[in-house]
Order: sequence, then C-alpha cells, then structure tokens
Amino acid sequence: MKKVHIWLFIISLTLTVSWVNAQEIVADEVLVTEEAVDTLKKREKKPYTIRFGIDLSKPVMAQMDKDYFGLELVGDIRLYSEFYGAVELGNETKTQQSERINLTTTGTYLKLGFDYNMYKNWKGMNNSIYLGMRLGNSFHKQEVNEYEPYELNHYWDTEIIKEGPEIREQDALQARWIEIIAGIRVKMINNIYMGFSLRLNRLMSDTRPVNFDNLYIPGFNKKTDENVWGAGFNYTITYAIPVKL
Amino acid sequence: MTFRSLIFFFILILLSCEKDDICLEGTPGTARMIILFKDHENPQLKKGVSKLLIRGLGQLDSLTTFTGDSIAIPLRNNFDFTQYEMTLRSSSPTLLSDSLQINHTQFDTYINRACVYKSTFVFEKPFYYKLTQGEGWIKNIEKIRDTLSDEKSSHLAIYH
Repeated sequence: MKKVHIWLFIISLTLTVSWVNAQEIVADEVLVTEEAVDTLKKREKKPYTIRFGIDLSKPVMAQMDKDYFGLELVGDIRLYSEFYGAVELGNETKTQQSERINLTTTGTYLKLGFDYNMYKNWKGMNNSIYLGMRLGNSFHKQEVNEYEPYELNHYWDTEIIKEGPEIREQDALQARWIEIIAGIRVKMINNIYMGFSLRLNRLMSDTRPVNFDNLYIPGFNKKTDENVWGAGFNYTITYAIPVKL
Repeated sequence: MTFRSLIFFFILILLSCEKDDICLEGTPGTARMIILFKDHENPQLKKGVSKLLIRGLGQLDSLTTFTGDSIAIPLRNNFDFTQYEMTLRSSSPTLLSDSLQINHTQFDTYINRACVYKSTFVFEKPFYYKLTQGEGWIKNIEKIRDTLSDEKSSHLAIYH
C-alpha cells in the first residue's frame, strides 16, 4: 500500500509539473499571436494624415522689413511608414539695396519632395525629427531700380543712374535647385503642429536676365558669385486632417 | 549623426555662407580715355607735352599737370559730353589754352554681384567740339578707336 501511494504521489507531481509547463508554452504561443494581431491592427488604425499650413517666419519678416513681402503655404501627406510627401508654394517680393545697386525681385516658387521621419514615437504621439529633400523651381522677375557704375577715377562725381537701358524689368526668369532639409515637427494641441526646418540649397540652373544676374531667387534666397550653395529656413504652423484610407 | 550635431552643422553653413559684397580691387572698372600727343608737322611721330594743365570745365580742382606723350583722362558718367580745358603752361609768355568737348554715349555691362556695372563710352558724331576760338596749341584731333572698352591703347590723338 505504501508503495502504491508513493508512486501515485510521484506520478501526480510530475504530471502537474509537466501540465503546468505545457500550459505555459500554450500561453506563450497565445501571447505571441496576440501581439502579432495587435501590431497589425495598430498599423491599420494609423491614419493617413494630410497637413497643411503656413510658414510663420515670412509674414514676421515682412512686418519688420518694409522692403520684403513673403508668403509660403506648406503641406505634407504621410505616404507609408515614415515617408511623407511634402510641398511648399510661396511668393516673395524683395527690394534690396547694396553698395552700388537697388533692385526688386518678385516671384513665385514651388518645392516638391519628401521627408523621412527618424523619430520613434510612443503610442499616441506623432512628433518627428526628419531629413528631407526638395526640388525647387522659381518663376520670377527682376527689376533694376538704380545703380552706380563702377568707376576707378572719381574726378567727376559718379552719377547714380536712374534711367537708361539697364533700368528695366526683366521677366520670365527661372531657377531650379535641390534642397536638403533637417527639421523637427511637434504636435501642440489636437491637430495643430509646429515645425522648424533648416535647408541647404544647391542651385542647378537658372535663366539669367540679359546683361545682369539673378541676385536673389525667391525660395532659394541670395545667389552668390562664388558658389552654387544657398541656405534657408522655415518655421511652420500646420493643421492635420486625419484621413482613413 | 545625431540631430543635435545636424543642427550645429546647418548653423555653421548658414554663418559661413554670408559673404561680404565688396568689389575687389583690381577689377577693371569704367575705362578712361587715352590721349596720345603727336607732332602735327610729322604725324607719324609722337610729340610729348610739358606742363599741360588739364581741368574739367565746372571743376574747381585741376585733374593734373602733365608732362609726357600719353595720358588717361576720365569721362563724365551719365552725361552726353565731357568738357576739358587744356592749358600749356610751358608756352610762356602767353599761355596757350584750348577747351574741348568730347561727345559720347555709353553702355553699361554687368561685371559681378559686388561691382555690378561698368560703363563703356562710345564716341558720338562729331566726336568733339573745340570750344575756344582762335589760335590755340592744338592743331588737329583724330580718333583712333571708337569704343573705350579698355585702357590698353589710345583712343584719341592730339596733334600739336
């Protein structure tokens, strides 16, 4: 009898242990599948957002500088994963006075490209730290208001030229460039986002005015003689519309 | 690369891109008119002047007192003409003086961002008027080049 009881005890013990083990394995499997289902659901739920807004820096600069007007509309759409298609459409008028010349540049520009978000958001967050690229194209005109010819000899006073064949407006000017962008975008409240981006521009080509040059290109900024690089920034406020596709 | 170092990199680029817009010395500017002095009796030969006082009409200061056979004088920008009085100080006891008006037009060509434009003068027809009557020291004036695009050779010859 004693022997039987001992065997029963041993068998029941091992069985329980093995059953518990088995249950654990099953539980693990269930957990794994649940997780898989969960991520799938989460991905399906994530909406395709379209954001649009304006660059705040340009109206602020226009307020401070009477010789400047600027407006830039910005928009982006999440295409897949962390890729966003992005667009900027702007208009600028800038009158600049340098040592020898006063000129006004007016024009519109369009920038198309993408942003790639590198920031890993927690659930429910939608901030981004991104790198991006744009192709920019401007359509502008340039008007020389007055200039002082470069004279080495100052025996006669050098007259500032206010009328003549070079005092004119030249239109149908264009420029094309590439921008490399680094920026951040933070969700403020509900669907309002604020963002800041720095841009490094490389001029690809431009149609120059006759007997003159594009000293300023809307969207690109100042063009220099020495190189094809330029720089810019924007400070945006955008509103997101969630779209379920 | 971290985000912070990226921002730093971009700010550095923004700062370094700011170039000063100063027209560099040595850039060819508006060319002056080069006058060559020649002998009226023997037109092939150069004949220098000595102590020639050159003064722009309407100017208080003289441009220079010159001795030699070739001189560069500036023309008046944004005007159709330039007037100079040329007095031969060596012709004592009576000073011989001639006043000339050079007629010109100009066109301006773009150089670069800092220097912007330079002017190039072109002689008009007739290219000069003699403003003083009677006998002066200048016997004849001839133009050599129409367009004053550079100062490499003479544009005008004065025979005396």
